Amino acid sequence: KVKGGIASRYTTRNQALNRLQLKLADFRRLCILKGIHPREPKKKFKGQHKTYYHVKDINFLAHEPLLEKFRDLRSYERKIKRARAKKAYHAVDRLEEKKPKYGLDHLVKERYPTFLDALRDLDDPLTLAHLFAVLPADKRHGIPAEVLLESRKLSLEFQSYVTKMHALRKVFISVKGIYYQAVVHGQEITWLTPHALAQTLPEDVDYRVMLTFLDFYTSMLGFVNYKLYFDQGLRYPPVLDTRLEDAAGGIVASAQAKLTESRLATLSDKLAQIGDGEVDEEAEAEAALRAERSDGEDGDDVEEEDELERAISLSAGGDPTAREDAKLCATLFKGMVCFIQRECPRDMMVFIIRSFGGEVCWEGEGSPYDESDGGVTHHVCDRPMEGKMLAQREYVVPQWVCDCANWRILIPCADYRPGIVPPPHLSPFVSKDDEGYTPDYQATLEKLQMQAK
Amino acid sequence: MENTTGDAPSEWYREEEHIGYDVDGRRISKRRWNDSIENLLHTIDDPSYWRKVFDEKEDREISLSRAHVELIQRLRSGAFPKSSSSSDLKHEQNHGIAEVAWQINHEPKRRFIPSKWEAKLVLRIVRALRAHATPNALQSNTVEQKMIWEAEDASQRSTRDHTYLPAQKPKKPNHADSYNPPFEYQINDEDAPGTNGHDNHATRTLFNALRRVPSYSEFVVERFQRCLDLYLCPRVKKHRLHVRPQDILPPLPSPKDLKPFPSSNCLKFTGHEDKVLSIAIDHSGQWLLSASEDCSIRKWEISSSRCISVWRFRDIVKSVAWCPSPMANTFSACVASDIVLLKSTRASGSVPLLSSHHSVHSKVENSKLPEWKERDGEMIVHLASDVSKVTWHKKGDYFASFMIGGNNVMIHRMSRRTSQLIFRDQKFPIQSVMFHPYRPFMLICTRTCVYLYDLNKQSLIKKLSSGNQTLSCMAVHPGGDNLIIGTDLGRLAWFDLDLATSPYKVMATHASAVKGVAFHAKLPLFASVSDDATTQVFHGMVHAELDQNTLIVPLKILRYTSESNCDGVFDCVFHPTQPWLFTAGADRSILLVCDDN
Repeated sequence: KVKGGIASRYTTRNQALNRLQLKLADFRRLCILKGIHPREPKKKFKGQHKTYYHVKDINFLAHEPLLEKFRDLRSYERKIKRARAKKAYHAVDRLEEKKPKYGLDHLVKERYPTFLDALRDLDDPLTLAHLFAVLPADKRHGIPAEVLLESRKLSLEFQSYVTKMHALRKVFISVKGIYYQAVVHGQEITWLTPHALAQTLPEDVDYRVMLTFLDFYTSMLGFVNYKLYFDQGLRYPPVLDTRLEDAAGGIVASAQAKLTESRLATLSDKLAQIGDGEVDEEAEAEAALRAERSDGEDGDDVEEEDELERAISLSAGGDPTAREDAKLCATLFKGMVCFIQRECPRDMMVFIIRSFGGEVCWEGEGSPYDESDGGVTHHVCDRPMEGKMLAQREYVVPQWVCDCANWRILIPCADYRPGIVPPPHLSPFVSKDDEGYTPDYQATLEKLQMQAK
Repeated sequence: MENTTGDAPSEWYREEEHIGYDVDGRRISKRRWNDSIENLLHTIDDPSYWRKVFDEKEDREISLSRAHVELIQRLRSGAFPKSSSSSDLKHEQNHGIAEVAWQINHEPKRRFIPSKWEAKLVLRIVRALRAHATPNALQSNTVEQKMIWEAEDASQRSTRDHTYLPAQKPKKPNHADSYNPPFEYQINDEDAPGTNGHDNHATRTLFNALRRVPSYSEFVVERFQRCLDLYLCPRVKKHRLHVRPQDILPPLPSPKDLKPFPSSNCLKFTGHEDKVLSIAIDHSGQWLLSASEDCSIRKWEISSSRCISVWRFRDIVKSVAWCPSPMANTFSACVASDIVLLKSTRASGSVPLLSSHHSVHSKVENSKLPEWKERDGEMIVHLASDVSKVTWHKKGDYFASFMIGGNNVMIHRMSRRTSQLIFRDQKFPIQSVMFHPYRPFMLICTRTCVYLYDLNKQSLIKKLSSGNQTLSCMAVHPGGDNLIIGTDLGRLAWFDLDLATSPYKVMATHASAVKGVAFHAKLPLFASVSDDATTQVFHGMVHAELDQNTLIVPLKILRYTSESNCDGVFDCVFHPTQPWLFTAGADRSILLVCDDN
């Protein structure tokens, strides 16, 4: 007889399956979506090699509306199967079209009651979305193209938000891929993207599990992006430059359109109007706005400054050191125009340089400047350039951009010339106390940092 | 010629020479056909031979045109023979409907009646439109995002808060994960594989440019593993103790409260011309003897640091020791294979040895028993082999002699001038021998362990060992229940004879081998000297009550002696009454370290 104690607080997985009347696959799917994981009871009363769940977690699953949806979906699948067996293909088409869909927004809200909770847990979603953004669609492994497009869209949206808010803090090129760290609403978000090369699909991976995770992560990222954009008064989804998108533009294609100034402007006007009951004022305000806009560069600069200030206060909050760091990050590459040569990973370079306040141009479609433009100050290239170097610009390898960004200084370019082995690329995620050792190059960089202050 | 067989089947003519008849009734002869060799030659010579077809009925060869070939191909593939062109249409019009009717599928009836499902859908849309709602079917596929976190509310808590455990974040990358790591993080093929688990294959190859970095083949697998970890791994909250190492240390009393202890150098005894190997202090605390490598013993007055007498020998004096008896006023010195017992009141001068003039016709090597000689007040004990140290029994009649690194221990009795070998051919080299302060016991320290013998019963009482360290020196607490042992690795081991055969405490204090340890006779002090030229003073309080542990507090590290030629300090002795420490160093001087007051 089970009395109070460990045995009443935990159940084994098979007991849970019986209780929920679910198949294992559905149970796993539900666990992934609800974020329920096994527990380790103090005493494994049913055996050492069983998986134990908390009874409360299972009760929590039992009351999930999605459970009912899954059951409906199963019976609906049976209908389709029957129609297909009868070769009633019209019916099959019709049924497929009307297949019930389920949303996961209530789960996102439930698992992350506050927005900060969601931001805190954004590392895995971003990494998985960035991975699926570059995977090929594959029928045999059951990876549909729509999912890939969706994850590509979401990762680009997040990247363009980070660029816009100058929130990127750390970049690290590792053998596994590229690590980024951004600070959004004071939360450090670290994610890993694969190198911009073709990915192979290994056979010993259950893609259904990954797709279920991606399913939840996609909807979560959608809400997070929406909230981020909405708070900044930006239009969501952002407008993509179709011409650049067709030319595989990546992040450069997502133009940041403001959520039509009229929307925010007229809202305040409307409030004023309600207060005063005067129509003329609105017209006057609009006229003033228009005049300001046509004012030209001065107005633009002021606006830019304002925007910067807003971004800094958003990411850093009240902490003065964080504010200073944010300001340094936003203006590190200010006034720099980098030309990115073909062999360098363009998306990565554009993302970093723009996040740190620089301008970019590249070879091919949509570049704002030409390669031979006189305004280009830095030429990012990865191949030896003997005899082709111009005197009026610096030639650097991509690592220079990352190292500058990590150390917040413009490192002298001499060591980073293309064709020679650059200095070691140090991880910005290592703290001196943990490692207990400082590489020589770190000491050099710290000295440069002190000089820059 | 055209054949005229008409409707007659061709097999009627198969055996005949002719084929049909002409108008005049004459037989029309068959054409002569090529045999297979000729056919073969034709296939080679004529490129368009494959187009030629023999028409048996007409008895002629037909060459197919391109159009014919195309027609045949269409027929073979089951397509309509003629491609639809204007000429075909014209051709088709010539046929009646009845002729082609079999080719056309009958239109099913359902194509002519309105769809039930469409009607239902239309009805639903119409109803929805009437209800001023956008019907489901008219909605676009794009999902409209909405705001689910309206206002930030700190009071909003998850319903599962009490048990919710967030997943652990993945490990952040290290310098070694870099595509271009610093030299010291690069793993070469020579390094043993698997030294740092999963990282070893990641940094196997080095890339000197970003463009050379290949796609990471394990990326998908690693993400999959992470997904599995997230939903299959049991999560447990482990309360890790964040304790600083300093907090674990016991609360030690401040050295200030443990005064007096030797802390500052106040006197230096200079005069020796080589390393001072051994020092000894008499029971009154007035005289100090020192033995040096310059073959001399000096006697110093402590209060004035004056050298009173110098005795010179023919060989290095390895050690010197006072006879503990207050009346004897005698000391012993070990020179080569002689033990010289001198009166301390003897005038300075050179002291002859037995070993020098007796070595030629001596029989001691054979007899193995020491030879006692007395000559104008001094006594010389001549041993079979070299002797390096003498330790006196408390009463001053017996003394034991041994060779450091040797295997034998001898006990001599001064009053009767007898000697006996008590330990012979020990397994391990002997490092130190001591009498127990008040029991008839003897402690023998070998390279590996310490033996405690009962001399009355002639039996082993205890064997103390301190792990696998090489022991170098030993000192017994005046209480008799504790002893310290110095090792070659610079460690001190404190043994409590009542407790166990393993050390009560091991202190890693010195950087190199410990050369000497000493207890103070009255005060709770002990000191150790080492080859690293430091002297360390400790407070070692032994409590009489059994429920209190011995308290050991390091007090002072003295660095007054300079290191010369890898030798630092050789010996240390406490003053019998005062908190003063004497050290004999390789820098030819003896230091007196006093307390601060």
